[in-house]
Amino acid sequence: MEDEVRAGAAEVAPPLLALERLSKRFAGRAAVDDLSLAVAPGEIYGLIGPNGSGKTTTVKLVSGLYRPTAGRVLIDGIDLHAEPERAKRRLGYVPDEPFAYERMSGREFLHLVGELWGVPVAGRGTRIDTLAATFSGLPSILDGQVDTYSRGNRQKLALVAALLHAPRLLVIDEPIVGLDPESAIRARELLRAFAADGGAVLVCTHTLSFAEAVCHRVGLLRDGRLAAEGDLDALRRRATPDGSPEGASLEELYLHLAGRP
Amino acid sequence: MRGATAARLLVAAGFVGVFALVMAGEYLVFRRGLGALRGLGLPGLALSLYFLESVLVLIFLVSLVSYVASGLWIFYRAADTGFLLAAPLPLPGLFALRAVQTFLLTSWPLAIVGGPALAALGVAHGGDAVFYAAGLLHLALFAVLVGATGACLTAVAGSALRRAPTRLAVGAVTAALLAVFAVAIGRGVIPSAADFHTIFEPGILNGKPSSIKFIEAKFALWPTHPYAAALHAAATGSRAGSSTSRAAAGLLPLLGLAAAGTLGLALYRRALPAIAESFVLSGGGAGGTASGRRARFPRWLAGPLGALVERDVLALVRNPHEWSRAAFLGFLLVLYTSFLFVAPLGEVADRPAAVARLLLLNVLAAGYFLTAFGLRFVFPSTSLEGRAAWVLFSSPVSLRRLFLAKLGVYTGLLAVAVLPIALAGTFRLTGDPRLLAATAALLLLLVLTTATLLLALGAAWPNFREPNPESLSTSGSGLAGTLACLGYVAVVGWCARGAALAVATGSTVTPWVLLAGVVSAGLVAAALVLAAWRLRTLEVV
Repeated sequence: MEDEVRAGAAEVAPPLLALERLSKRFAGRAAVDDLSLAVAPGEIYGLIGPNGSGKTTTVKLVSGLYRPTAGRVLIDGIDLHAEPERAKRRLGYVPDEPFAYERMSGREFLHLVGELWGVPVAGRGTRIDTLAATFSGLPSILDGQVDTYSRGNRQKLALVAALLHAPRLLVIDEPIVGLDPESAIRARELLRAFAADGGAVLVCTHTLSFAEAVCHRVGLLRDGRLAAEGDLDALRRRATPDGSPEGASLEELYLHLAGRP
Repeated sequence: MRGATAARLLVAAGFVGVFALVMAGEYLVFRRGLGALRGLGLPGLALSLYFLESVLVLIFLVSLVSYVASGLWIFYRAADTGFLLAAPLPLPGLFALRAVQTFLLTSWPLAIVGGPALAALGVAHGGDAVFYAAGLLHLALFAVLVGATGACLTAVAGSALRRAPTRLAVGAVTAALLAVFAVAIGRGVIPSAADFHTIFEPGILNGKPSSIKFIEAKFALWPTHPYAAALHAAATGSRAGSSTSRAAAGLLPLLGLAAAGTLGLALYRRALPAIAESFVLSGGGAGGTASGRRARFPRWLAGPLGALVERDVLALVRNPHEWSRAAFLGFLLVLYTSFLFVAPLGEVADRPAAVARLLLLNVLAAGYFLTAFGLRFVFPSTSLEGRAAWVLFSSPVSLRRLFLAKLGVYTGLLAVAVLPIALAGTFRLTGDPRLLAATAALLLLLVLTTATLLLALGAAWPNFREPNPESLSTSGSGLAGTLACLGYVAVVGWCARGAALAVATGSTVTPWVLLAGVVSAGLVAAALVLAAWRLRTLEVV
């Protein structure tokens, strides 16, 4: 299995995101343990795993919200914790709980995000309108205060905010939670288009059908370690006794890889 | 878990200690003052009544403004309002619950000022157990009156503002209330030179000293008068009060409770659903911004740091609860200002010791307001990034530069809020240019150091999950900030006193300014190092 992991990492060079022996411990307990992986330009990489396996911690380490206990995060070859400001310019992030500043309107929030990431004022309003139009319903509430938004609308706003400065790497924790089916489809298309333009995506999700639909490769985390990695067909082959890719359903595959009976 | 509980207990004990220290200090000042008044004979007897009347009026007003400011949030917008409205809890029960919660949170002036005043009065006049029992009974009745009046006023304010068309209306109401209170205090409470002349004139009318009659007439319309007169009579054996005022002491709380239970409850029943539906004052509701139009952002400031600072200001302006807290602190500031301009401070100009003491008090008052504003608005600044802190921490913005930008803004805001009034007070006390310059320098140091200390401690240990600034400022780092500021303010106050005495004896003020400068520089440097270190290693949990 370790050979497969190494082989998977080698395929995606030169990576836009590289995790090098990354570890994060909380009060002595390892949440992420010696994790190495890479995401190449044009690639959508899905992190799956049971609750408490270290997915969200990994995403927070990549987005700079946590500091690693050991190891490095390289974004486009830049060490995130050595040069955080340079590295973060290339990063777009959507957290698992997409809270925004509640006393602002959605449009003001997006303009603030634009200022923080250095999006030029000229053309910023047009870009906001264009991105917001991706999701039905968002343009009509964009001038309402964020504290009146539903969970789904906050998710749409966070997705638009993450894409506003045209990042090279997109890191998303649970991309479609709270989205209506149409918006979930739009989000999927948005990620595919982003990757097709040469961007890299690290997406962390429990929605296996979403992972299957958009991810080029999937990594399964268990107890903070990468238990398996590869494209879904390769992983399916490992999960069936006869090595047939059609043998295991996505759920069976997940349970097999997660070590559940 | 055990460690966290111990830490919470330690913080609580720390705050109890701070309050105990403040109360002990007040007690010592009150006891000394009342003891000195007792030695003056008849005028002293009258002045001790003036003291009691003034203290109770101040407690009453400060408690009421604090009650309404907090009550408008607790009664209508507390986090559990939706849950309690959905629960099978009758509305009168909810109204009573909110009234008690608000009273418990805002009755601190009664405990912190009323307690030491009662103890000092008893000790200065050799009060026995009966005096203390009667005193506590009257303070309890007074507390009921304050709570019931506060609940009524909160219900009236909530009802009046439930469909407030603009923030301008709220601002105008707040400003009008502040002006009315300032005039009431200025004219009715703070003694003028003419009042003193009347008080010191001998004379007995119908068996009662004319000075006491004069003071009773001056405070007759205040609902606090029956309690002040009763306490004075119990402590000194004077003939303050009348059968009417003694009856009023028992009846007023009952009337207050009846008004709260009928008028207050009816207004609450009418306003609660309308207000609970929306947190936006100006009719934004689900659809619009506060202004209802497509907002440009940032409007006034440029660049990432400017945008973040403008966002802070916007959040403050759009939050009615922040307004009410700022208005409360503003009210205290107005009280202090009206005291400075009405009290005959110029008459002590030829007594250096009195000038030095008053200058010390002026700097201490400035320090108190700076600490209070700072704890409420500067200290929580980093924590109030809240659940949206991911935006800032995943952005390419230097947290160190943001800290320095915020420090500049908050130093400016604190200076604008407090410096003019503190300087005006200094002008009223002295015309000496050296002392004026020294005091101005000390006040500037006070502003800069207080802002740096509180911003740094708030940034060093933020709590992104606590949205309430009041809870944030009662954390362990809030306690550390409070203690550091109180100690530092005392040092600067002592330097101001030293400078005043130096001017009186013809020596230089420079050593005192230098001493304050060295202490301030040390604290600012330590705070900046702490903030830089913590911001480098901070995580958004």
